[in-house]
Amino acid sequence: MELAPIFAWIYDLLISLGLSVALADLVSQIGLAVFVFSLLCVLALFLVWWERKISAHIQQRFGPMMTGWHGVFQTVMDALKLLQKEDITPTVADRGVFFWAPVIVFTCAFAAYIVIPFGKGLIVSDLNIGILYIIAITTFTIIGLMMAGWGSNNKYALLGGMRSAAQVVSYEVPLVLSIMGVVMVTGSMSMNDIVAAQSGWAGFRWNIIFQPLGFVIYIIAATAEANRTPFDLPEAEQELVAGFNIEYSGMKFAMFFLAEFVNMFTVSAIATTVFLGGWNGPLLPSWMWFLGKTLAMVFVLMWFRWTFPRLRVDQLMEFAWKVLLPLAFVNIIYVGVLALWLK
Amino acid sequence: MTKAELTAHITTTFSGQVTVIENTQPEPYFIVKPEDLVAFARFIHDDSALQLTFLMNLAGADTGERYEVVYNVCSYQLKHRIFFKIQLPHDNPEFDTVIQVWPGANWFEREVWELFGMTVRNHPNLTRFLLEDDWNEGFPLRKGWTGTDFIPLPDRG
Amino acid sequence: MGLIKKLPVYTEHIPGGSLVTTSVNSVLTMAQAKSLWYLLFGTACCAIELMATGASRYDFDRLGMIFRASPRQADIMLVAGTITKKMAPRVKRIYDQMAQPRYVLAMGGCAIGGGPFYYDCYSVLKGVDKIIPVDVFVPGCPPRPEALLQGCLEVGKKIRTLKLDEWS
Repeated sequence: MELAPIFAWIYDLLISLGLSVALADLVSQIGLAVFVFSLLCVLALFLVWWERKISAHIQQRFGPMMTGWHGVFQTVMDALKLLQKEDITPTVADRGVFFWAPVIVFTCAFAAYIVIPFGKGLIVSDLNIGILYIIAITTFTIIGLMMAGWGSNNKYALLGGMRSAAQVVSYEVPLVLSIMGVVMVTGSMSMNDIVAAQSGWAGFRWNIIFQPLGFVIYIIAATAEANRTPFDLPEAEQELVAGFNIEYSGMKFAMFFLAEFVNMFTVSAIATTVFLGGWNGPLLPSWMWFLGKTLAMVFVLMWFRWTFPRLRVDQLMEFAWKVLLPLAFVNIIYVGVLALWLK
Repeated sequence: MTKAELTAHITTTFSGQVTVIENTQPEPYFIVKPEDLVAFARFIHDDSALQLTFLMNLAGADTGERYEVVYNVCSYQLKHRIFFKIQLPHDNPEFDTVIQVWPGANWFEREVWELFGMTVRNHPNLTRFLLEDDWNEGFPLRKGWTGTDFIPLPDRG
Repeated sequence: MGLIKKLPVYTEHIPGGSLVTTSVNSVLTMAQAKSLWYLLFGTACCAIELMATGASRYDFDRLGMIFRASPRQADIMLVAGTITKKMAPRVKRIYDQMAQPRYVLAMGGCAIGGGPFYYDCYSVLKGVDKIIPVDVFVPGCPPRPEALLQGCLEVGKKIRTLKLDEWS
C-alpha cells in the first residue's frame, strides 16, 4: 500500500474545497512537514528504546522491562520526567548562547528531512541540490555544539565542544568525497534521481555493489559525524563528565538527547538512499523498504557502539586526515574510471 | 639472603648500634637509634650484598610509652626485605628525613607529621594534606586524643 | 513547571477538578519513579557493589535507571561509600548542583551512620544525612545487589506518594 496516493488525494480534496492552487500547495506542504516532524519524534522515541534494548542484549542483560511490554514506554516516561526537571542556567553562563544552542542543534537535526525520500513520491521537497543541502544542514549542528560548549562557561564543556568541532570538521571531508563518488556516477544531486538510478536489476544496481570503498568510508565518517562511539570523545563519560552537555538539565538536555538519535537516523537514511538503493525493492511497499534498510543501518551503528573501544582524540584526527582522506581520493579516482568505463 | 644471613650481615657490618627483635615473620626486625637513621638508611641502600632500594612503607606508631617510626624496605634485585624502626620519646619527637636515600618517603613523612606531630628535620615541604583545610584540633593518632564528635570504642569489659 | 504546581488551586473550584489533579499527579510521579537517572557517587567498597548491580546479572537498566555523569542530569544520588569530613563539602556541592526534583539514597553502613568507622575515628562523617536530606537508607556492609535494587524500588514507591506541591 503506497502512501503517495493518500497525499495526492488530500491535495485534490483541498483544491475541490475551493482553495487556490498556491494555498492548497502551501497547506499540503505544511501538513506534510508537520507529519514528517511528528513521525520523526515517534521514531526518535523508538530509537532511544531500541538502543537501550540492543545495548542490553549485547551485554547479556535485559534493558528496560518494567514500563509496558519489554519496556516500550520507557522513553515516554523519560520524556515526561525530563519535562518536570528544573531548568538550570548557571549564573556565569552566557545566557543567550546557552539558550540557543539546543535550539540550533535540534532544528538542524530535523531540517535535513525535507529532502529525504521516505518512499515512492514521499519526499517533502525534491530539491535539485538535495544531497548538497543535507551536507550543509548537518554541518550546522556543529555550531550548536560549540555554542553549548562555550555558553556553559565550564572548562569540561568547552573541551568537549572544541573536540567535537575538530572531529566533525575533519570527518566532513571524507564524507563529502564518498558521496561525490555516487553523484559522479548518477550525474545529479537530487535525491529522487539518485534513488531512481538504483532501481531495477534485482538490487544489482545499488551503489554499494560498485563502490564498496565509498560505502565503508561513508559509514566511518558518518559514525564520527553523529558523535557515536568509537568517535564519541566529545561526550565521553569517563573523561569529560558528559562533555558539552554537562550543564544542561531538563528539557534542554532532552533536546540534545533526541537530536543525537535523530542525527543517527539521518546519516542512516542518507546511507540507505545513496548506497543501498533507497526505497527500491520488490513486493513490499516502498516506505517499508526504506524504513527496513534505514533501521538496519541504525542497528549497525548501535552495534558499533558496544563493540569498539573509544578512540583518543589524536588517533581520531590522525585517522581522518592520514587514512580516510587518501582512501577517499583513491575512491574518487576509481569512480571516475568506473564512470568512463560504464559510458 | 635468608633471615639469618641478613641479620648477621647487618649487625656485623653496620658501624652503629643495631638491636635485633625476635619475631616469627620471615623478615628480620631491627631497632636503630634515631641519630643513626640516615647513616643506616644509606648503608642498606648502597651495600651491594643488601641493595635495599625500595621503601615499601613508612609508618608512625604511638605505643603509649613512646613514639615509633617503622620502615619496611625491600630489594627488587635480591628479593629480600627487612623491617626496622626508630623509637622517639614523647616530649620531643623529631627525626631526620630519608628523602635523599628513598625519594618516595616524602609523603609518608608528611603523613607521620600531620597525624602524630613528629617533626621531620630537613623535609622540603612539611605541610598538611590529609586532613581538612581548616583543621585545628591537634594530632589525631596520638593516644588519648579527643576532638569534635570523636566517640571512643566503649569498653565492654 | 510552575503552572503544574498551581494546578490544584485552579481545579479545586471545578466540580470533579480534584480528579484531574490526582490523575495528573499520578502520571507525573509514575514517570519520575520509572525513570530515575542515577548519579554514581561511589567513594569506597559500596561503589563496587553499585557497579555490580549496574552490570549484567542484576541490572539497573531494568528499572529504567541509567547512569548520568553530570549532576545536572541526574535524579537520584546513590551515595555509596564512606564520606569523610574532607569530602563532605564536595558532596553538598554536588547535591546542590542537581536539578530538582532530586532524591538521595544512602547505601551501606558508612553512608547511613558512619558504619564501622563510628567508633575511634577522627575523619569520617557519621552519616551522610548530616549534610544532605536522604530519602531511603539501604543497610549492609556492603548491601547485596538485591537489597540495593529494593532500595531503588522503595524510592519509586516514595515518589508515588508525593503530591504536586511537595516536590523539593
